[in-house]
Amino acid sequence: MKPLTITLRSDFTNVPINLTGITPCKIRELNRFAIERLPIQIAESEYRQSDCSLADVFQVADGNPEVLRIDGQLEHCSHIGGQMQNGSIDARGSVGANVGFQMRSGSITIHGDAADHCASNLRGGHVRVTGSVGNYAAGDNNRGMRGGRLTVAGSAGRWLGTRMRRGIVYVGGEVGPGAATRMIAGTLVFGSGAQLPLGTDMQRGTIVFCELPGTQQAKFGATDQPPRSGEIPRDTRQTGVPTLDPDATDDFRSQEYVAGDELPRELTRSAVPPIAGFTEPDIDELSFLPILMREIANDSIRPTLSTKHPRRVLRSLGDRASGGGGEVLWLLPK
Amino acid sequence: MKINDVEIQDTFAEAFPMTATRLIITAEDRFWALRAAESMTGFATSVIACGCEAGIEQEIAAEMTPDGRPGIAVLVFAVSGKELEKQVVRRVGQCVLTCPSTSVFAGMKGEKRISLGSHLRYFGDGFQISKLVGGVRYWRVPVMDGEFVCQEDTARCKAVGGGNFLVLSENLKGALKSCEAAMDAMRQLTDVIMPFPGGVARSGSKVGSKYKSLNASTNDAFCPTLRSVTDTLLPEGVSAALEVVIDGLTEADVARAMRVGILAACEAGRTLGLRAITGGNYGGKLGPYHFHLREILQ
Repeated sequence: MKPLTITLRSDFTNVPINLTGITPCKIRELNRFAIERLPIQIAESEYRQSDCSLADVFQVADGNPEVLRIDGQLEHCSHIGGQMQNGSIDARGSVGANVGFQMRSGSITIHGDAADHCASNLRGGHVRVTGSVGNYAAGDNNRGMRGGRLTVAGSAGRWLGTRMRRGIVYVGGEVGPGAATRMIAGTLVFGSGAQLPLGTDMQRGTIVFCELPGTQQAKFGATDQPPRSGEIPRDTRQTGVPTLDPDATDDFRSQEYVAGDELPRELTRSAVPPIAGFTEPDIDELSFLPILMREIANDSIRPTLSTKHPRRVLRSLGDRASGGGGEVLWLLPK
Repeated sequence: MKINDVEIQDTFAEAFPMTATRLIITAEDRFWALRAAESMTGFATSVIACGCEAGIEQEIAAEMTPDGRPGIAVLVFAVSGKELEKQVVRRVGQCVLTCPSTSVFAGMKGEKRISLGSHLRYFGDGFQISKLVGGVRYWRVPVMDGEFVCQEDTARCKAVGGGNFLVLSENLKGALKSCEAAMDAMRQLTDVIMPFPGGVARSGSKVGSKYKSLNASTNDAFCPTLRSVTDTLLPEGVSAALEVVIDGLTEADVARAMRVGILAACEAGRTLGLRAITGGNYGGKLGPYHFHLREILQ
């Protein structure tokens, strides 16, 4: 059965619209008339908001209420899936800020980009973004993500996972500067590179890089000029990120180390750059990693791993400057 | 009733309710997983003095375990959830946590839970790390070979303990070989364990004792050396009796294991002096589960 579909009317494509509460769990118990009368907030100006009904702004087409499909030019629609308890939402196109605001369960798929604060207040459920996300994804200056999962196929802006407390985030593309700042706990998995600073004042939590720097598309480094607020970094090469010495990395990858071998410390240290406040990386074997990576791989948006059961990592702990016990891991090829 | 000329006596075996959990122990390779499982299930033959009954249920292929390493599933049975938790935490802490490269995970789902990593994590002295993945909380406890990974808790379920059958043979060798054949067949089954050494007890017990401090004592009715001074239950010509004891997750599991075991014993023991199969019948005093041998074998 086709999903219940709401399509944004063309008159409202440039009007900020707050979709908090427009969720399958609320729609399921309503008839067509009641659905059309659901209240939503639109901003008539910067300082004035007004309430109107869903039918004033969206065309409503009948369908299975367990799946809510949202069509149209949605760049100004914020809080998609706000306070969602279950069911799924399918947004066709790029969307505004605060996707999954206070969401507790269910799933949201954004077929496009999502603006700032995507999954910032997520408490459960799964938010998938096939494009990129803006700043403060899974993060917030007060309270970041507190549970659930965010999967981003593209890149992420600045301050990803700031003050994040729980949950898992996977970003396939580049990650902007400031990720994991003041991170309390949780897990960030990066399929590609990230820009410094990283993990500043990180208390606990885990950051996993699926590739060593300089291999394939993975990069890691510092920018002289961080991107402007709201800018989504598409490729760090365009922002002047110095990639690491590729020769050192290739040497590292070309050798097979087994337990008991002398650790190639110099090679190890040259493979990844130092992160301020973090210890020098060392090789560790973590039997927990296959559990995490299996969970990450159990999705249509997932990293390509060089080994089925990754265990060997370069591991760095921090932010020691503030007594933190977080960790940054780089998966080593088998 | 006879199977391969072995008499199946018209009696029943008694069993009693227990509570059980399954743990999956993984390690770098099968050798270390097996060492941890053997150690953890050691001294766990009877709740009378061991606190629990435990055994290895099956080996699990690496592809089927949570962390992709070779695994061993063990079942632990106790008389109460509280005692089960106490035994599991103590045994995992002393036998699995200490074994190189091991991790331990819950092996069953259910609403009733008992602690596992939530107690053991304190060994990490503040360096332990919690991870919530797929709705399951794991603890990563730093140890000298890396990390000990342990699931926060495990489920428990109602179970059946003490299912049994007795092998009555003309000689000890015939009884032993019959039991070995039974065990070989029963070890292929899941959801059951045979907690005694080799799955077999030679010191079958009866309920009560002449000594007030003991609630179980030797089953004199099956002791060949007491044949002339007690009301013996040994048929003429029988000089050795051994008891196969079975704990299972359900009544059906125990019955299935008994059937498989008895048939295998009768097949192997026919030419070795096996005379009869009987059950540990205590007049209904031991427990509410009654496994009638002839019904099971029909």
